[in-house]
Amino acid sequence: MYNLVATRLTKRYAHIPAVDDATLALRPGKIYGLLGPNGSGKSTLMKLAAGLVHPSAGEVRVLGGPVCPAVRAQVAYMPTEPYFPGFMSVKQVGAFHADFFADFSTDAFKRLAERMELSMDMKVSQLSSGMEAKLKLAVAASRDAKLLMLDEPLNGVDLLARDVILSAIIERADENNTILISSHLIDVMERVLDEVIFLKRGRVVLQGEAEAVRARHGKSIVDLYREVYAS
Amino acid sequence: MMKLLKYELQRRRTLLPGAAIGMLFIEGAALYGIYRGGNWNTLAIAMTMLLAVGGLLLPMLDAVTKLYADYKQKQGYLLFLTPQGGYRILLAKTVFGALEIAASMLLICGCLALSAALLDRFQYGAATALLSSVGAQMGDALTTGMLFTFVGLAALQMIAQMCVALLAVTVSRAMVQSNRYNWLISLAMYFALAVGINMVNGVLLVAFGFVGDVMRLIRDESHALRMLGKYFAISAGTYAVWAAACTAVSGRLAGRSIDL
Amino acid sequence: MEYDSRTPIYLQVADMLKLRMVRGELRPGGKLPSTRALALEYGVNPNTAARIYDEMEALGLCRTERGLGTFMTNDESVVRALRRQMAEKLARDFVREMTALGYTKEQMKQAIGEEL
Repeated sequence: MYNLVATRLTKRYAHIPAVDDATLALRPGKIYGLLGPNGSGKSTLMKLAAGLVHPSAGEVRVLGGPVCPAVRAQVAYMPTEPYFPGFMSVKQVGAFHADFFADFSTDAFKRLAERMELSMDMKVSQLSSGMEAKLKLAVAASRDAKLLMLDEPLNGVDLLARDVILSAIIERADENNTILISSHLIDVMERVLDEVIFLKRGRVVLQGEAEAVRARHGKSIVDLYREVYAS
Repeated sequence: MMKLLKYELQRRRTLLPGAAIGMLFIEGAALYGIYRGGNWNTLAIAMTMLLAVGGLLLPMLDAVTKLYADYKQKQGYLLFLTPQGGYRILLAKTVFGALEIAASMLLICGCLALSAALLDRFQYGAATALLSSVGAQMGDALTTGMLFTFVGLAALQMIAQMCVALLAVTVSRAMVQSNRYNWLISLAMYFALAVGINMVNGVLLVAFGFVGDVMRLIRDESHALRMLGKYFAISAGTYAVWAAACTAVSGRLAGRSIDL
Repeated sequence: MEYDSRTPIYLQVADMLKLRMVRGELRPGGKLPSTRALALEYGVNPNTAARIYDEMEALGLCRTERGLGTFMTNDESVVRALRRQMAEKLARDFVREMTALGYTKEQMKQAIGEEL
């Protein structure tokens, strides 16, 4: 029914909650935007769903179950930070993911890498930060995951490559998977989002359909964002 | 498992050849010392000791530093995002470390054999003489037996120590989120547990009658081989169980308690 | 593709499609892009794309046949009516905005004459 359910999910680091009593239910066939300023808990929330971090309180269930290896095989998480070892070539990064993930398509990866002008033989250590950002995205988008979580996919990416990335995201979306995107670049992402979730200091402060928000308030998500975070 | 081992190998594609070459250079220096003889024997002894100690320590340090890096740095995401449980990942590290230790020991033994051969050649059969005198005292079968036991046990002990070290790193990381004093806690835990293994081993040996056996040995030398076999088995068992237990606990912690 | 994020995006894309229909860029009775292709072309969410076709179907501008895709209406009169509708709206907007500028009817006619 739901691809991601968080129930009163809390994560504390040294008594400070990064995610605070968050309750969410994400449906398949939708693209969700996770919005909020730095430190509002977006990354932590994704890491909780990806199994990289464990809850202090509450629960997170993905694809109907706890975040165990079998479930994680169907979850693709793209962190904000670069995380590929410098010694690997682009091709080897693809091979690594093909080894461990049954839903990874090497063909799709090669095509995406080509569209993003990434040479297969270049070592990760030789890539500029923009190219590394594109590689991260290419890896995530080459997986046929039921839950695809992208943490700031447009960060550090040049204008032209942004279109490639947005197209790749749209292409991935189908009626069975859930895509969760966190981004600062709301004005660019708006048109791609079905629903928006606003996080403030780890709490879910607003949730709703993007178009409904626009229609009801007569303002863009960007405007709404400003309102929510003005204080 | 194979995929994880492949990845662990890939990460060390410069370290392993580099270490092997380094060891060969050290052995080369030892051989030179043997060739020159006399005072140069000191060089040979020093280099051989360096080879043995370094060769045995390196795999352990390697395993520990890689795991620590996996927990601390973003590159650890690569490993922990794979759909593998903590048990599998830590087991792969243990297996790979064991293979490194075995390879290292083989290399060391090879070098020692080479040194012995050269010793014979350039110092008038000194090595053979040494071995024969030992053999004469204890019987030939005993010498070979002792050799295998010693090498095998040393390897198993190193593997167990490595598992202890991996556990120490894992526990300290699970307990303390910040990175500053992790190493101190790890080190303390490591020493505590490493001493622990040997204490447990000692207790078991005594429980199986080690003291009585030694008394009997002094009276009857032929008893030695039987005794050896028994104590090899006990010690090997202790080390194997210790290694497995540490790996299992590390695996559980890595999968369920560690925040990356 | 720039969108005004204050009004529903699906309406804006629908308007663009209507324009293409009226201008003859889309063939009556012809197959329209799949929702996915539409989403990619206009850089919008695939659900938004589906909604666009729903909206246009409600207006009688197209019909969706399960498994085959979405097809533009065969009916030329519908397209003509749409064109008239769009033209009338432009005229209305023109008059309203010119009035706001203070133009009289005569001045408006003159302005158009000059433009043509």
